[in-house]
Amino acid sequence: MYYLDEINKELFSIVKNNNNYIIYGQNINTGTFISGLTKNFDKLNNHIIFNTPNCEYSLIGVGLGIMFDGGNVIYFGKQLDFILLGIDHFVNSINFLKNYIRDKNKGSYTIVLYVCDQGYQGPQSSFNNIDDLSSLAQIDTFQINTYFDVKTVIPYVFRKKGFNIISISQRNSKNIIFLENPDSYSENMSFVKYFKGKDVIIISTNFSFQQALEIKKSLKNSEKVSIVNCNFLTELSLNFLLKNIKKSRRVLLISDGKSINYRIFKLESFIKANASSAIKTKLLYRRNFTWNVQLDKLEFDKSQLNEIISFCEN
Amino acid sequence: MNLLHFKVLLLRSYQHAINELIKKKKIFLPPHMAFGYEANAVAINNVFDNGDKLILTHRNIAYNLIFDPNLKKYINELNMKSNGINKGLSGPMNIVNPNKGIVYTSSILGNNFSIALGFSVNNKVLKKKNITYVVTGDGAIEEGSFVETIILAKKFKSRLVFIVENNDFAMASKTKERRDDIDLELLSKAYGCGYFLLNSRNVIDYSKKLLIIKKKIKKKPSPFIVEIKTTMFNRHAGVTPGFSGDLLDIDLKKGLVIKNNESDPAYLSSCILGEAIIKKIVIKIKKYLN
Repeated sequence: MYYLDEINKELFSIVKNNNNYIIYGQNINTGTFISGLTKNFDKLNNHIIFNTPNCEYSLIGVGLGIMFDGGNVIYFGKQLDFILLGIDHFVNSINFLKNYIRDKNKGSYTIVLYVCDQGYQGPQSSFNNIDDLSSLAQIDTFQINTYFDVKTVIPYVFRKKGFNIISISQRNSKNIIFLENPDSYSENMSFVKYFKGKDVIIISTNFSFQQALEIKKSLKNSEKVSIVNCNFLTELSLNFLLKNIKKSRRVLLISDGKSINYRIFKLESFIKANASSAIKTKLLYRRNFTWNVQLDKLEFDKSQLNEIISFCEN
Repeated sequence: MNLLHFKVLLLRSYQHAINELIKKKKIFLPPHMAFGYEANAVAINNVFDNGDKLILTHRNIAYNLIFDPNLKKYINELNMKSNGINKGLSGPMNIVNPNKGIVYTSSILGNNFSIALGFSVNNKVLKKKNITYVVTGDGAIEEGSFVETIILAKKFKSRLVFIVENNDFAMASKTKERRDDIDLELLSKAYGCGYFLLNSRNVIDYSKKLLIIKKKIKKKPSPFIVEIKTTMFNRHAGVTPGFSGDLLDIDLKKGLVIKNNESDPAYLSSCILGEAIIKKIVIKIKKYLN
């Protein structure tokens, strides 16, 4: 079961079973079907689907207008950096929504997009951190990492009112998707916890779940390690986090972003302020980013790896 | 029909009231004034149907006051009071009034086109024939989003009317100081949408033309551009740096400010209604201020 195939199947099933959505985007029912993301959308005959011209600023705004008016809309964006063309809407229009539109009156608007994180496509690959966007208007964002995300988080987002972003990792497109069910998750999907281990908690953000998994597998005390995947910071289920780290000794926080604006900084400061001082934390993020070698997976040398292992095993 | 002319003069008097309060520093957040824009707002208000939507800009005073002539509520909003139109949360450049059809207002040039199109698309999906009006100016049409939205509005076959208030002024410069002329009629033709030029400053004529447009696009959905030549009396909200004469020359003690030529929509309205009506309006607004 491959990552992108499963996402496509779920999206197709959601829109097929609900013809209340206005759906639009570039190449969504023709051409490449956004590199396979919207495969088979041309078969949705009874739906309101618009294949659009290349006007990203206005495409982002149209969805907001529809949502302000109470409609339900999905915009399939080609990739995260294209959304930069509409950044004014994130500051001005979405904050308008927060001031004036009451929940009962507003519709839903979801942007589904790829993060161009293959690491070799040029300058656009420098922007792989959804937090940079979400912090502009404190938007709920959801990064799809696992099969649970596909089957539970995606339908959850489409049931939500208001504005949300679902982001998909292009570098994971052809990978086999992680299938195991989570141990637990917070009601608003800000945290999803996998495995039952209590000694070490690895908190993964952005698209670093796979990396967290690799670290867990490499540890001698692997069965005592859990992974908590964090989707967004806007309305964190902090009690969920505290409850799950309560009995642990070590918390390792990972981000694969290329930003200086990391979710893990805030999470760590929260843990330090609210959890037992006996819990030790360690941050894993890109310290020296080379713009001309745009690797999207965090790379560690041997000594760094030993440091991580030693932190988690001792 | 004379009622429309009366509304033009009444709207001017409301602006006078606000202007006097600005001078007395009794308004905390001064709005962008719209002396000279009254016929535009009154005409749109006249053809506006229940379910139609109006999307505005930072210079929204004329529209807000004609769609909801509650001067006190408007002034309270400018003074950030909880009994203002938007409970004091808006600031002058973003005032909305959804109950009256003013569903979105943006202070950002070019921001409101696509949002307006969204309202229009949703209307269409709901199989409503209502019209969405988006007001803009000769400055904001320079933004790329103007053309983008025309292209998309054509694609969506939406009933979206662009009201371009061409006052030959934006960002403290005249059009010629910024760019060459844009022929909006040719531009409309290029993108396959309708175009009307309103230049008479006559509120009756404007209403008639807008009714023709309404009939046309109700029958065959399409975006439409209406360019309204507008003479601006004042450049900015309150005293503008570099334009110290702004507003200060407009003084209610001298009566309603009305230019003595047809560049002012209030000129024609005052000729039709006569001096006695104007005097009554002035007395009423002075009484309100006292």
